[in-house]
Amino acid sequence: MRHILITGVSSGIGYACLKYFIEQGCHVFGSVRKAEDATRLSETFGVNYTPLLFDVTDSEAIRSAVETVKTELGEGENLFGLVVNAGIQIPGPILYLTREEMRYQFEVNVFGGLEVIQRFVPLLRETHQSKPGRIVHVGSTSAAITLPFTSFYSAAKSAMHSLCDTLRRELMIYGIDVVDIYVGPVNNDLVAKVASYKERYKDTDYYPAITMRLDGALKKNIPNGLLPEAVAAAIFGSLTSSSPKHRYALNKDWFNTWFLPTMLPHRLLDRIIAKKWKMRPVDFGKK
Amino acid sequence: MKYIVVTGASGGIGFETVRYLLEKGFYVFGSVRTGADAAKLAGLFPRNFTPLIFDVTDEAAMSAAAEQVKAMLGEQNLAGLVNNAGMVVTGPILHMPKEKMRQQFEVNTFGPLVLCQLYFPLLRSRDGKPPGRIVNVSSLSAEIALPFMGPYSASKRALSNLAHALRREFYPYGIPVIDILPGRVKTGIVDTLAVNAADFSGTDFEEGMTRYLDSAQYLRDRGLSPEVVAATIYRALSDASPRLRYVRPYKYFSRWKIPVNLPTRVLDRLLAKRLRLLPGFLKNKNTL
Repeated sequence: MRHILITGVSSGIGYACLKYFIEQGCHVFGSVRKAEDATRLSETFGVNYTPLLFDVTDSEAIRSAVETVKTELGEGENLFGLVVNAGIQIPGPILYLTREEMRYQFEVNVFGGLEVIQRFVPLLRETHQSKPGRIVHVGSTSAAITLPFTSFYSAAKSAMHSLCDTLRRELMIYGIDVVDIYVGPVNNDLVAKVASYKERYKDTDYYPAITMRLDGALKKNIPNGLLPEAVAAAIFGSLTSSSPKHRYALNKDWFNTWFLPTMLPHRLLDRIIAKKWKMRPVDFGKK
Repeated sequence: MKYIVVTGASGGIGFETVRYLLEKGFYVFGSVRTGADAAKLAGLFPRNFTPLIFDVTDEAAMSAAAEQVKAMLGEQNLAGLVNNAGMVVTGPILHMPKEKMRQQFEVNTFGPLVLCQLYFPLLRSRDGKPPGRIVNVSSLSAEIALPFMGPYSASKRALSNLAHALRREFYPYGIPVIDILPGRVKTGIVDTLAVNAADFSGTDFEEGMTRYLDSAQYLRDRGLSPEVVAATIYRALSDASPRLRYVRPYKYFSRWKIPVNLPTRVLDRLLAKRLRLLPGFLKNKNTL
């Protein structure tokens, strides 16, 4: 029996992973923050799902979850995989983000994600009957493509990518592999949830640009994005492949959302972005 | 007269940058953390230099210093903000306390961003005067995450990533944002590594960590001279059309071109072999 731990399974990619992995015959430990989510998921998935109740920013709760998992696994069993998925997105222009917001973005996506890895590494290690497990970080293409108004999310994802490099090199001593998956636009409600943020910037020069970017995302990029089920299948593939790549980039519209933005010269991309969202000096000069 | 703010001016790259920019005829505000350092620098640089006292984690002191600069500039623009202040946290990432991670990012990532916010009104174009520039001193570690340099690499990676965001968001205001990636520089930073290392004795990474420190000691007197980086910062501030990124490796091929062009899995193995991180080096095989 393969045991896999996933953080943030209440919705989105985490939920899709939970469902997909159970269909593939795995037993899943999935973390949620609310007790009612734990009950709801337990009712849906039955014995193949063990709920863990913790917020990735809560060190104590993570520690007690480790004990729960250890007991459940029993002698000789280890975790086949750890999927670091839980994350948040705090959008906004850098000029107006508070230090508190910068911190919180990193507390959840970077420090929290790292702490989960640190605590569960002992359970991923080789036992006399199973090979060492594998760590998969659910990253984002924004780690490589930095667009205006999602800067701190990008920064957090790129910091995690760097930490995946470090972890992959350092955890080699235990035979534990680490894979980062850059996920492109996904067809879920993550952006819709935070769309109201733009009202805070009503009186700034950036308001028209923020509005245009959000509208574009909600009308075009998100509905045309990857399905969470497809992401789940790719994550499962990276967990089970005998020779995984160190990084995967998942995109539905590969040419426009990955190839072009990563291959074009930065300066040219700067100008394209500025023209597209009316962020040229002439656009701001009018006021 | 052109006015520049340089953070972390008490030693290393910051100190050399202040000296270099003064020679080139700039007026420099240099930030230090203690009154003693401020007095020392004021003594060394009697003309065209004003020390600012703040730590990049202390928002009140940062705001007060920005007010001080604003008052001195009057109607004039700030020609540049050089975000140089930084620190290094090292050690195996598996055993890194959260508090140390936080501290690393507070200083290397959030601090520079808050300074960009604070100096933005002085940097942007006013009354037809050309806008100033932002120069961030990142590191090659942003591109090559060496073992035991996890927190530092990640914080610099985030900073370099933010340089793209800053450049794109400040584009309409005409403020250029330039990222500088120096390789190993001859500074006192090696001494701080040894202090960090003691915290991780007894872990499975002890041997690798020892080898890592040995190589750091060996390179102590062999890195880039801080003056090379200072000259690059000057170029970033003064070139008519600056590049968006200046890479200054200590050795062009062995420490930049080769590592970034090798297949990642090959580099993983090379680094792991060198730093005793291959599975064969694990002494204590017992789990749990």
